Amino acid sequence: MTPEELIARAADGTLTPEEAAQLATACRGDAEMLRALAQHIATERLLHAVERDPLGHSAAQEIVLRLEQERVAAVSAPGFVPRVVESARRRVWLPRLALAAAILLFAGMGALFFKKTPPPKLDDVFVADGPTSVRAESPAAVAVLKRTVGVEWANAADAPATGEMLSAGWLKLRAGTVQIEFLGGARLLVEGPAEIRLDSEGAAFLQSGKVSAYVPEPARGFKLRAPGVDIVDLGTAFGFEVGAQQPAEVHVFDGAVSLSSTTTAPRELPAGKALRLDGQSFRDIPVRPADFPNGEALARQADAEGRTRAKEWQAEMTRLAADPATLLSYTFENETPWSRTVKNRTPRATDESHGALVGAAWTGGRWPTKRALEFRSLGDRLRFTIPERRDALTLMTWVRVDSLPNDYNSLLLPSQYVPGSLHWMLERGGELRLTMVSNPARTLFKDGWDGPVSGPAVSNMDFGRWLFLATTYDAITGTVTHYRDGQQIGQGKFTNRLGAVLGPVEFGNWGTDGTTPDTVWTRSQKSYQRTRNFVGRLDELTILARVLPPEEIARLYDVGRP
Amino acid sequence: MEIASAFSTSHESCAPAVLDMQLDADFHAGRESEKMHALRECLEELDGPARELIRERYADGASLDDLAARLGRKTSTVSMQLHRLRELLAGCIGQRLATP
Repeated sequence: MTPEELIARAADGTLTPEEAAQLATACRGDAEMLRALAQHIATERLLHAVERDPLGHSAAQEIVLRLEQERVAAVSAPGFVPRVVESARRRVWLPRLALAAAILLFAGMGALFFKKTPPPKLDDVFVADGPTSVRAESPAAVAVLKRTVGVEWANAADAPATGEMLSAGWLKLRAGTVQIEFLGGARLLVEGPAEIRLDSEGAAFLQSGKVSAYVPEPARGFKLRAPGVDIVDLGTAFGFEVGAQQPAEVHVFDGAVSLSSTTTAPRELPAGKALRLDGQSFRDIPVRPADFPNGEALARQADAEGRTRAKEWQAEMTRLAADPATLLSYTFENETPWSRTVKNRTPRATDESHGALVGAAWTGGRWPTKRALEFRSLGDRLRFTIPERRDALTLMTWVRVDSLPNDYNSLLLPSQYVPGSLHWMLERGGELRLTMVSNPARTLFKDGWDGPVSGPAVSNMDFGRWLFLATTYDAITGTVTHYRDGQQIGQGKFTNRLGAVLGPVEFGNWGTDGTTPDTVWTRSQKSYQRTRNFVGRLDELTILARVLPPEEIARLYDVGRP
Repeated sequence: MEIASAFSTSHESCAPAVLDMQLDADFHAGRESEKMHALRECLEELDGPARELIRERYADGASLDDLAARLGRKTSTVSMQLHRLRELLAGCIGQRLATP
């Protein structure tokens, strides 16, 4: 039997004991043969792994088993590393792999007839981190709530947050002023009390209240209607007031509008003119711009309000940083633009708890005076270490999610696994999710994890606005609770009730040391689950070693909301 | 694993040690997953009888004797065909790893 046949049979697994002895003797004195043998066996093994299981499940399982056997730890700097050698000869024919294979098989074989075999079915579902959710279909946005000043909503529970996308529907204001930017380009300042219905990207209906409309050229044709009155903008700025007790008034500050009522023919109203709908007809009245909300004044007021709120928030943060349970308090204040470290503001901060910035750039935060970090590129991250195991934990952050491009988008992900390591992430579908490693050697499988516990946190209407996300964990009861903007959005239990460990972690990315089974696994994948970078802004991050009660989280949202 | 068990019959076999070292080294260097990834890509380039042969052998787990009977060839011929295909694929993997 030739050496080649011996190697073939070795790889096939059909060696007799005599042949095995023959092969052993032959390869001992022949490095080239040894190399060829190792290569064939390795390829055979890979073929089994890949073909039985094109997605690599069993291979992944094997990796886990190998870890469990702790053989990796036993191997140190192997002296003999057989390598697949690429020769110049291979380089020439490799691009024609299929052709080469065909020639090789057909030579002297004639036509082959193979039965068609269906691809293997995979019963064993790979669950490195469990399935990800699909974002619920939200109604299409028509506008953005750009600014609010002294606002009091009729229905506080359902109140939109500043920066939030607005879908078609009613907005009811008891007091204050809001700035609404329609996706079509028109900008409305609405002064409460007011009830306005957003109809589309270029139309609204004012039931009552006072508005100023600014309609730039691209938004021309914006329609504002009221009971009995239609206004079509002709590129302009105008004021419109509809009261329960008094007749509707239209004041044109700039440009022109086309005005019609149910009883009158359309007429054009130029700048500097105002009309009152008196019964069935329009009557000329003096124009009064000062009576209507003013964009510049609103911006100034919003600014002043923001400064006041920022001061209140600062005081709250100082108090929170002093809380004996606070492990980490990143507020991103007083950081210089060139600073690449982030200060942990708790008095007990350890050196390793100050954050190291990679990639992420400084940008504007919730308030004009406030800084935040922008995460945009694949590599952007904020690294720090929180040592020790905790029986109680509260994770809180103010973020602006700009998109959720990955199956899992990192909030906090650990660089090393121990029992109790946490994955705090946003799923592609917008769910806020917490999972915990229960068995580091089994993280490729469901039984290596506790959780997931998740709750709906981000809809596509929330992209681009500031969100307050919080998650608490109580190891005594195993309870995980998720909050969004101070409201509970999900709760569940970890059955193993392990103490939580952060250790070396990253906000906004997944910088593992590359040895955990699921990172070994995900690295072999083209895209699935591997990339987990967060895309958006981070304005505050707080970690406490106690479970904050719901009312405290609601209060912190209230103090912190922009 | 059948390969390893085949070798375990040999008293002074060098092969299991080589195999273990290679596999551990691959895993330790994180190359195991890279190689699997490369092999998947290489297999995508294959089609026709070669692809079918590999599928029958590795996905369906057909024995060499089964394959030989179906193809009307000698078992040793099928063994050598698989040997050549492994060589081809190993070359392809090496090529892909060398040119990231």
